[in-house]
Amino acid sequence: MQPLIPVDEVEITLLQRILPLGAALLIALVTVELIRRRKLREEYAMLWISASGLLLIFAIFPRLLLHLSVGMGVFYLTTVVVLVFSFLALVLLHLAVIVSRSSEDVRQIAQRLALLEHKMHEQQSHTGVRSQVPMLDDAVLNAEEGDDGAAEEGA
Amino acid sequence: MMKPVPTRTDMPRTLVIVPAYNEADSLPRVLSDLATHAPWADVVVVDDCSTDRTAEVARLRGVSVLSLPCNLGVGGAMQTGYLYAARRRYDVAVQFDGDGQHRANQIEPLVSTLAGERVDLVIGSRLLEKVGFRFAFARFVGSRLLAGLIRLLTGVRTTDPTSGFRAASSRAIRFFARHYPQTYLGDTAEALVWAARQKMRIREIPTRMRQRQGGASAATNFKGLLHMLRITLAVFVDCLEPRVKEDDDRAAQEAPARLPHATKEVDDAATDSGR
Repeated sequence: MQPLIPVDEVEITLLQRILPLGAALLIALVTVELIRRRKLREEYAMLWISASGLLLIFAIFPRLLLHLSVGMGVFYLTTVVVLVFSFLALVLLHLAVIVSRSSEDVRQIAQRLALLEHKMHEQQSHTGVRSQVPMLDDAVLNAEEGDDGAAEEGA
Repeated sequence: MMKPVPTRTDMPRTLVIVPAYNEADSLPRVLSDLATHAPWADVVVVDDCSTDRTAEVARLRGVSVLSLPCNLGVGGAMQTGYLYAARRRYDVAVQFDGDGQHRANQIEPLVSTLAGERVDLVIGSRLLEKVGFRFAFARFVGSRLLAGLIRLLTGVRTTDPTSGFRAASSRAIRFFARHYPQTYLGDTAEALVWAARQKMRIREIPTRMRQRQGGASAATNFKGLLHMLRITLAVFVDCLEPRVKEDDDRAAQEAPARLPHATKEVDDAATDSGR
């Protein structure tokens, strides 16, 4: 099956050039900003940076995408939708795996902390020796830090 | 005639694990019940990051308290108790709910069966005999289906796979300290399957429980159905998995003779969960 119009004769409108360019820049900008605010780790940002780069290439050379689709035999928008959807599904799965691993880590850390704290309290009451500098409870500490913490979050 | 309460020397070293999430109201009654009917056992309350005064209430009663810094759910809390039991080399650990549905005077038969019949897990069943306990109908059907599934997959016959009232041997303690299911509300049935797949010996004895007050149980409504489905899925997946190797545990068992201090904590690395 051949495309109805030869690739080199397809007209590419201004909108078709600007749209992917804008999308590529937006993704890059948001990703970099998230890294800068330390809300996204570089290793997970790589995926989005490369997605942005790919989009940028196609924005600059729109005919490349046409050649590619001819090469792959993709002529219908539905096929593209399916491709994009499976890409997103894979990303989601990847994230779900990461979240599961993280919560597993959190679980073990929480358990160890609880055991350790108990052991510490026990040793203190056994020996009757208290640390020179009294250790504050989390509740007290959180109450004191409440304002600063909120400010930091908002920054 | 009331049987006299046994003393510490009559019974194996036992730890009662009480996971508690916002149980400050019921905990005093539970702890005094334990102090009266099972004074021979040590008690540890695992506070699953409650928002009420659960930990404080427990500490005031003089029992050990493990405070989790974030909410892990029953499975995570229970495992913390098992870690504690493993590190302190308890012979028996008893799972005991913090909401008051379990009775402390039923612990003794549970532990005696475990020690007397040399099994690894004893489950207190509410349905083995007519002891006046009624499930909601949907719960009853779900429980039966689950029991059938477990029997089909592991060959273990149970009547009450979701009963959270159980006693575990030192072998089971070591296993659960490393691997304990985290499925929400499914930890009981799944733990049973895991234990069965470890070829642990499992027994069930009739027990009495208090009927839960009000409709607090999550397993009575539509959510209950969802939980049942989730548990069923978890149980199925468990049986697809290759059996968890127990080599590490065996290594721990064959470790050189331990120091005479029975309560000395075992090296962290020896007992901590790998899962």
